Amino acid sequence: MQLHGLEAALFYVLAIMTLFMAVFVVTARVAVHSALFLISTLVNVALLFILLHAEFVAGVQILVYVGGVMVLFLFVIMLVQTRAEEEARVRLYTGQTWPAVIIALLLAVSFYFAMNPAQAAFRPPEFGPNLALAESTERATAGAGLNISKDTQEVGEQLYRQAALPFEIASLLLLVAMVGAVLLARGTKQEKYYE
Amino acid sequence: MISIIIGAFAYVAPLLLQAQQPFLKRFEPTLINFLMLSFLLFVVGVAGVLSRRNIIIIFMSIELILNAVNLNLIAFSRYLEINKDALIAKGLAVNPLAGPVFTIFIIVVAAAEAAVGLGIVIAMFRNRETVAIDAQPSDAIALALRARCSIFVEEAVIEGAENREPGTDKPDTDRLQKWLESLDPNELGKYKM
Repeated sequence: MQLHGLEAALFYVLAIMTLFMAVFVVTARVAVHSALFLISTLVNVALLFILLHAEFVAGVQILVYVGGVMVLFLFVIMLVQTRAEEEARVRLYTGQTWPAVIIALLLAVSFYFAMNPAQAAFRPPEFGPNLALAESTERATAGAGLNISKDTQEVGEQLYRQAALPFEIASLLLLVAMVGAVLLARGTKQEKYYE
Repeated sequence: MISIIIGAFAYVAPLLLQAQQPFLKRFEPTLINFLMLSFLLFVVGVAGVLSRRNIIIIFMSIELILNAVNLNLIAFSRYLEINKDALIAKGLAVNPLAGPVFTIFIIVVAAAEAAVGLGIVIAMFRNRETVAIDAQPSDAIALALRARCSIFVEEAVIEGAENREPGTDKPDTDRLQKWLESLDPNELGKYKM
């Protein structure tokens, strides 16, 4: 799965930017800045998805994650004004940064031990990559001038055929979450008004 | 900052375009590079969850973790898609579409969880006027009483606290102290731990 040339350079640029933005998310003093850095991280991850030829998921990520979830975050941050943090009247950190660092190091060690036996498997196999199969457009939609990418069509087929039951359950989950969020945010004052 | 990144790109790109030299070919990203990036994102997210006090920033770190997992899945999906023949020839069952499908479900669940979680944050803010999630002093004292553990207080807090006597009569304070020491968690009824 080696990326060559321009894609390789783009990967490194995106990777470094993603990591920087992620660190800024965690260490920003102002909550709105943190949200904006997270938006940047999500867009970078979507670009990485496009680099990995998963255009549909990149589109879903930008539409749902950035356009839905992050907007919701920004609304709530505006509603819950944390001016105390910005004016440095309040501590930002729990005082447990050392346990966090130690856990991160332990994760690094466990990652190394998990990856080590599988190193041979991750190298390209002896037959070599079959890019012709991966890039072929034989399953593209016939006629109608639709220019859907091969990835979108196949993911759609999977979603509506093999993964139809999880799809319906996900819709039900979204409905329950919506009802729950409205209930939680409605408040008791409004309940008294309606009684 | 952006200029640094564009500069780095402009410097690295021509080098990688002519990566015939074996030295530079070694740096071309393969699957393991994507996995490393996903792991580093995950670690940053975990550090954020553990070390921030603002509940909203903790939620954002959780979103970072979920994105790291998504990146992992899509990287593997691309790897499987490219090496499908070779892996099937080795006798493995390969489904390169499991990655994107699972990722879409993760995004859906993350959206639902963000909605409900932020609803909880709003409800919490309505009651407490703050989004920091340490324990309040009253909660901490209640926990310490029930768990029978010591309470440690910073000196600055004691010095800045009002000096209130429960009652100036010595029998009153004795009685109060005896009652406090004899509190049994089992007697608290529905607040039993």
